[in-house]
Amino acid sequence: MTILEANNLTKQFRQRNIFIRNKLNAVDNLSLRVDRGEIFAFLGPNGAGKTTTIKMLIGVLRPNAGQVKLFGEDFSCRDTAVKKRIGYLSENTHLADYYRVYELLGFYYEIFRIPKSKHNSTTERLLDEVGISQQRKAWVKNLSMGQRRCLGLAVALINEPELLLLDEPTVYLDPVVIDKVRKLLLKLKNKGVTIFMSSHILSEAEKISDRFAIIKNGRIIEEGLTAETIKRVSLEEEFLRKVQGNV
Amino acid sequence: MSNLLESLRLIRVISKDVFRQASRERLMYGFLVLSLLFVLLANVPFFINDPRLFEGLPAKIASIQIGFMGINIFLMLTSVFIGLSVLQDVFSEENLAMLFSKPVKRWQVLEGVFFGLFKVLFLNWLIMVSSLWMIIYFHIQQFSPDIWLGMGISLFLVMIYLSTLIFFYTIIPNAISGILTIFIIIAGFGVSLSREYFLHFPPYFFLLAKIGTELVPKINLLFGVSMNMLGIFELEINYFPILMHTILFIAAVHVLSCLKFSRPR
Repeated sequence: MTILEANNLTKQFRQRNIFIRNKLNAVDNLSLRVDRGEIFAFLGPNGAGKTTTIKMLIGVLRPNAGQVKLFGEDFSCRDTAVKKRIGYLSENTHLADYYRVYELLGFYYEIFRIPKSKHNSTTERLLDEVGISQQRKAWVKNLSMGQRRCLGLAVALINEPELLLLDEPTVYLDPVVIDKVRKLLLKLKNKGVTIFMSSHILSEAEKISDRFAIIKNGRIIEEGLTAETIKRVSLEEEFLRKVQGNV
Repeated sequence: MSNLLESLRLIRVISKDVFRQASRERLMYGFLVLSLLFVLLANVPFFINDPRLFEGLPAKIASIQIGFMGINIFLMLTSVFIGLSVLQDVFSEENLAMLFSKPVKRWQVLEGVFFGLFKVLFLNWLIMVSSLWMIIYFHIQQFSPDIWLGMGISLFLVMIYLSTLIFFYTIIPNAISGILTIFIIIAGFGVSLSREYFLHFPPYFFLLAKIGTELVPKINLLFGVSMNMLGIFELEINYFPILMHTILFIAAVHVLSCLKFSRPR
């Protein structure tokens, strides 16, 4: 079953100052499809349009053209019922630094209406899964970038999502935590969670993704099965060949 | 009905978050201390009971006037500056992406911000008015409930300041929205004057100007209502239409803000 479908997505940003008025196509006629229980790696160089695409997929940005279907139904930005089934980790994890770690999770529990009786056990489970259980009472402002990233991942998992959209999930993480996150994502995949992740770390994408797409200048230039591709060539070589070859 | 209750619940959750964020603003405590120093000056008319000072007003009235001035000036400053600081943080692109990926509607975030800021300013107001009330009680040994009623109008003013600030911030998300809010406040003071001025213009022009000036809250009239309730200057003001006009203005600004903000970029 197709969980996520984007058809002809286009996003233009206006670049305007006194002298220049033009439109920049951040995403140009992009179509893709992700099936249930799949890990889909969304790869591309800086500024290719990965984050813009993800923001359109979760309804934070409005596409200029095209449509998004989530769980088989048309998705609009105002569709809060669907958002209860999604988890999202942004590229620059913005976490309110005036909370302690468990209090911040408490804020999101309230948004998702998770009963108070489950708060403690859920906090313990989530922090353990992302490897920051020692930081339960730490202030968010005192966490390192990597720990913030892990906390962001914990926030994305609060509602036990069926679809997880991760924007650069392993950036800032040390190899031990990367390994932990990798195992966590595979565990989630085995539970039937669909994962859509953008990444620059191609070796990671190679290890865990089922399918991949390479985006450049807002357009998908390559799409395929990871296992089949790496029989011929590594994902990194394929990426470099495509990105540097298609100017 | 359940949708409405769910919306109110989410607004409460977000307002709690905004309250916590705003409570950390050091500038707010600076304003609060300054306002309390100003309110302390309300003691002076009781100590210097010279009819040449304070235009021969009774000590209680002069004292209330000083407190009234201090409380309103600092509530305005706190509303605009703390509001602006919180809005900049809440409306940052990353924070909005984080919030809107959750099952929260955009208008709920906007209302959550308003109520969170209002809660903070209400507490400021409570501390300021309590101090003034205690000073007056200390000197005249009377409970003076009129102080609470009269100063209550300041809360309407706070609502105008916050609503206007949020409205402008949805259009121009930077410090200019604060400047525009201050302009509106100043314009509000000048409404009666401008209407008098436009009276001399041709009728159709006056009608247009009248509609224009009706849109701006009559802040000076609200101050008049406040002074009426405080028993200052023995004013006779029919306050009901003025309060209704203010409530309508606040509601209209909220609807406009929500409409403007409800569409993502």
